[in-house]
Amino acid sequence: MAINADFRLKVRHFIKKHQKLLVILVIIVLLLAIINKLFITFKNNKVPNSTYTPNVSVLDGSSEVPKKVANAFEEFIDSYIGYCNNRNYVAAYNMVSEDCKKNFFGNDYDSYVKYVRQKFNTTKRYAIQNYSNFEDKYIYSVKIFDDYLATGLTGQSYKYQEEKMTISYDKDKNLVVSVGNYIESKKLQYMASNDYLRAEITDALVKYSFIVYNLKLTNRTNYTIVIKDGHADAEEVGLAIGGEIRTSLDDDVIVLLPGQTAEYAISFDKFYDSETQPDGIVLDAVRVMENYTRNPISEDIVKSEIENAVDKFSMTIVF
Amino acid sequence: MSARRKKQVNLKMILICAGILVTILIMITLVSKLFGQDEAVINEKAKAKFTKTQEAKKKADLSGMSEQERMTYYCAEFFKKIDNGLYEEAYALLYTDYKENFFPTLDNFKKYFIDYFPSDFSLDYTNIERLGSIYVMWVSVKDTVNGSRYGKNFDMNVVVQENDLNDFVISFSRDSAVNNTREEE
Repeated sequence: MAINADFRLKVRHFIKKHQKLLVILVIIVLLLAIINKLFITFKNNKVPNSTYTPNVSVLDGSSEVPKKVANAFEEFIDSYIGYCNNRNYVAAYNMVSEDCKKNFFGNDYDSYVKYVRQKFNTTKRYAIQNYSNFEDKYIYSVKIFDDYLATGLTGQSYKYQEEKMTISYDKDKNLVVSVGNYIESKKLQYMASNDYLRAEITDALVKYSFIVYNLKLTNRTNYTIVIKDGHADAEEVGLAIGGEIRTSLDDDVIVLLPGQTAEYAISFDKFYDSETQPDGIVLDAVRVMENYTRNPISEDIVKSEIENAVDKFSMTIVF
Repeated sequence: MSARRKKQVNLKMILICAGILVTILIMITLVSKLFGQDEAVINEKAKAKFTKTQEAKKKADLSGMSEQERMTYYCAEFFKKIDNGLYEEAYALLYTDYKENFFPTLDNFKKYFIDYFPSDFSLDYTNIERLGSIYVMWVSVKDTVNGSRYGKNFDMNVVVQENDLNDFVISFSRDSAVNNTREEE
């Protein structure tokens, strides 16, 4: 059917005359179609809302793992736990920081494997939560638990192991992890001395919630020096911090024989990310004794020996 | 021909063209609806459309719920299927590893509920804990027919993992109901 020439001319004329208007109309229609499509997609793509924010610090809600690295950190922890679950201990060990390997596992691969085997005795699931971001370290709280979805908690009770894993970069800018709540080790050089005693702090091992100082003591006398045996009224070994004295967490007896040098690991509660820094270690009831009974049978003996001490003093190793 | 008359003719032509186009479109739609498909296909399509609409509505409702409400909803959905005898649908919601561990066949699953679960029950949600992507719930099952003294009443754990809105897998402490029945014996 041939279209009337006059009609064609009219159509052509109409198009020519209203060219701009038609173009605008087409653009509007296209825009509306695109917006409609986007709206439908958005409406259908609703995701479950959740209060779970694994990359926001629990301790400080305003502190967050930077978005550009958050995924990399999560994947890193996921790989690490995957290796532990699959018993690929070499690969897992290679992800651990040199500092952690050296100071927490004593560069002993077997002790690392023993540690992992204890935690991952069966295939475990995990849940991470950023806990604190301090200095250049990103500390995650990692809950490790049995695959409850596979068991439905049949024959099990609800429990999990929690440990802090710290993500940081090594000197080559590679991601590394410190496990078992271990954060770092520090070389220290603090010393105090008098005619009787020389006390040095040589290093400290920092875990998330406590710190362990290496205390080196030298008895410079021919007497026995008692630093901690639980018989003094004062806090025998304490950490001076923020105007308080924190008690040592250890039960060790510290007694030095004449001329003896010995090293002790003494621990104190202290959160790694606390802004309050320690002022020093206080040895508050040092007794220089001519006679000292290690296991006295009565309090009277203890009293009498302390009363007859050659000297008694307090010493602070100032930081 | 005057300019005004020319304009009138143009408008007339446009209206005629639009009318023709609309008529053609309506005819195409009617023909395809009436003769293009048989009744079964149309019913199937209508059913699918209805399901899709229901699903969309359910998702819209779920998107406005808190995590705890959604988990409670999923748990209730699972046990509602059991209560209504829709064992196959409920079985399909089990987490694969759990299914393999405790209910390798649908018959095992069905038998378990017939043997150990009350015929009519209500659920009380006492606690919920989130562990990463999974939720552990503490649920009390109450026998609504035989009561607290003679009925099968027990506490159990239900574990849910939500993949997306209204897309979840579930498992539960299988021994809770079994132990309760043994105690009764």
